[in-house]
Amino acid sequence: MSKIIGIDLGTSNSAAAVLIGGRPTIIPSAEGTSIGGKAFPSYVAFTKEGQVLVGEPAKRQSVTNPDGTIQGIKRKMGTDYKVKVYGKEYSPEDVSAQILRKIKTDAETYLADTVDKAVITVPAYFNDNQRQATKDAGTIAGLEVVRIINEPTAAALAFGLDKVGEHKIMVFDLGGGTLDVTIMEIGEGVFEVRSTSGDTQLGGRDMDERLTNFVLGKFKQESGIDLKGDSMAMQRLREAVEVAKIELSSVMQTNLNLPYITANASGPKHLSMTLDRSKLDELIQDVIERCRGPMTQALRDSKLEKSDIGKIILVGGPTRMPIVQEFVKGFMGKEIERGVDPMECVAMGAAIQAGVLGGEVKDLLLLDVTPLSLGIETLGSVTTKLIERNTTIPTRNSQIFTTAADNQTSVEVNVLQGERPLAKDNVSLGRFTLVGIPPSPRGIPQVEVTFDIDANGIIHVSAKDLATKKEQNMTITAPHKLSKDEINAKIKDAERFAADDLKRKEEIEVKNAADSLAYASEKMLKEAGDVASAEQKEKIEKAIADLKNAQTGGEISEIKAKTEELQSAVYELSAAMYQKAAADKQEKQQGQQGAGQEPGQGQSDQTVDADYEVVNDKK
Amino acid sequence: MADADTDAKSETKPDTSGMNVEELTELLTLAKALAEERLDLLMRCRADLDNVMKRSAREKEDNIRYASLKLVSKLLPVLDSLDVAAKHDEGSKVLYMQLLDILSGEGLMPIEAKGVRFDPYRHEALFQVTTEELEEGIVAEEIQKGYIFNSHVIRFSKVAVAKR
Repeated sequence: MSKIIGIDLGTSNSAAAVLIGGRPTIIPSAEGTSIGGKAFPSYVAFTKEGQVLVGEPAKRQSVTNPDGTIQGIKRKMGTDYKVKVYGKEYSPEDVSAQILRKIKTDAETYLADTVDKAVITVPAYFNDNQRQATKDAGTIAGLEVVRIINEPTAAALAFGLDKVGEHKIMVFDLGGGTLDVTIMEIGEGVFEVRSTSGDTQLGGRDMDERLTNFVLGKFKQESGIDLKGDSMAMQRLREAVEVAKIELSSVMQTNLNLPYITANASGPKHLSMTLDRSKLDELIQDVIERCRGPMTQALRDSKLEKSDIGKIILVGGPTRMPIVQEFVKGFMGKEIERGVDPMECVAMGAAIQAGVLGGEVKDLLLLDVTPLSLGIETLGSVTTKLIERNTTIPTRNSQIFTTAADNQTSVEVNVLQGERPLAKDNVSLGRFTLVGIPPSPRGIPQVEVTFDIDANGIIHVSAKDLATKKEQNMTITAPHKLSKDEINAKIKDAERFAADDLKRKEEIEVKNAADSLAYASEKMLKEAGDVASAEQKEKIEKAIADLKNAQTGGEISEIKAKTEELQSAVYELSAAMYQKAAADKQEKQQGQQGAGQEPGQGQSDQTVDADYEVVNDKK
Repeated sequence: MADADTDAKSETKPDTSGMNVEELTELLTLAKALAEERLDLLMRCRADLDNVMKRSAREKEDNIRYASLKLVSKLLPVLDSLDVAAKHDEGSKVLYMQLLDILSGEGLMPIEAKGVRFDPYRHEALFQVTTEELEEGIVAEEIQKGYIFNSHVIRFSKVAVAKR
């Protein structure tokens, strides 16, 4: 069943998106994208040879084909304007249809499926004719336009503003060449436009111009050379300036380096300048100031006060600049919404609307995650995680555990929530005990512990003895809801204490390993019987005693040393046992089967709990 | 956006003890419809997952193939500078050749521009030059070299195109 896509058909740039797994995803443009984002330029070109080019390729050949290249056709939608190219006539719908057709092809490639339906966005101030023309363009392109929605509405959807009650919002859309301010009222799934205002000759390009002129001027001052007449130099300069402007949105200072920018009689010249954000801000001050008027006007026309506006969202590449964000924030006296890329939000919002119409978005599909890891307490009071934090739910995971002591017939499950390696540093959500485990040597029983979190976030923990099939479980309904801040604090704690926690965990592991080895060695001695010489026996017994002393002493390095000593003593014996076994076998070459089986169980698995030992580390 | 019926979190088993056949039939019809809806949703989720995995595999392959693409693109301005410097300075010429050599080994290739037909999929026209010597539509001058990296254009040649 094919998906409905969402399309942002812009004056300068266009983009499309679709819901994948419930998330809006931008559809990549086959021929590449404009700098800084994922949209492609809204250019259409008809060549003399009858070829049609759309997007970047159309833009690249525009100077060689000024008569056949069309840009900004959106401004003519809904009018009787006709484009006359090489003896043919095209309506604005025909031209827009070329852009939509390219989007359709890109989408079909990306989704590996046919695409016949779309939601397309239009400016809030578009009239009926303009909206109809947009729909018709879709039809010509082979797309059924199931809905036309307003660009600010799409942006609001992308920011999730339709889910947070009733609000009056302002959408500040500053693009490459235009500013659009819209005031809307949202409530109960209804979006109402209260007012719109703007400036059709104001945008990122003006900022580029200011910066370029500044650099030209400074260079002229320093070198006496005016680069304006040098096309290659200007090309390199314009590109570098745009990159620098975008960089200054995330750093305070950047370098403009254009070696060998030009040459004159005295030799080659280099352009090397440091640009800082404060200089950029100073240069574009007047451009920013011009944003004030439309905001004031829109408020006035909506008959609302600044204080009535509950949420502010920014749309368009230039709104990534800190100075623009600060300006809007300062003017409105309120923080701006964050979390969605301003260059993608309109297409994404269209995709969300498309998903709703296509039946893909229902509350059922909104997935939650576990904010913090879940696990149980194991040998040495450490935490063994079963569900990692940020795992999407519903989910389940099982792991097999075992006993830590001989004849241990019950295990206690202590359910822990948190990121710290030590059990005591995490929150215990509850405990229960599974009894009736058949008495066995430690490490033999197999107890499967399962964590199952359902769609509502309710945690079911069960422990099942695989031998007897006996099971015990508990259900934990949502542990008290932690706020985002609380969760972040806990995660930060884990990071802060990571080094310490690691050291402590390693110490516990050393202790556990010592424990295991002592137990295994004693067992082995018993089984070896006469194979062990009196000398070996004494050596091992002493090593075990030393180790036990070290364990009581608690000094980690001492425990490690004694563990190693016992290990080497034991290896001697096990080697001897193997040799004897081989000799025995040779003796009984007549075909009698002898004993002389198993060398001691010398595996020191990572042991893990007062009650448990981890047997399988992998699921 | 969601019907009360389809909100999984608030579902409770209806009390059917007092219902008559009609009511039960209606309940059954609703339940069936809900089941259909959910099956559809489930299939879509599976399909989505499937497609995402396929795409992931494709993208992984692409990533491997184009792993150095970003770095090589970033080095192009250095190539440019060295190219110009090479015209003035023997030392720079050696450096230029050395770097170009290494990058060619990785899959970098300059785009042919001057003298060939203008191709918007490989060239970007900055301006036109009027000339009688060249056919219309042929690249007259290369302003900035373009490059292909493993059959992917990482920078389009910036050129001047002939016109009569």
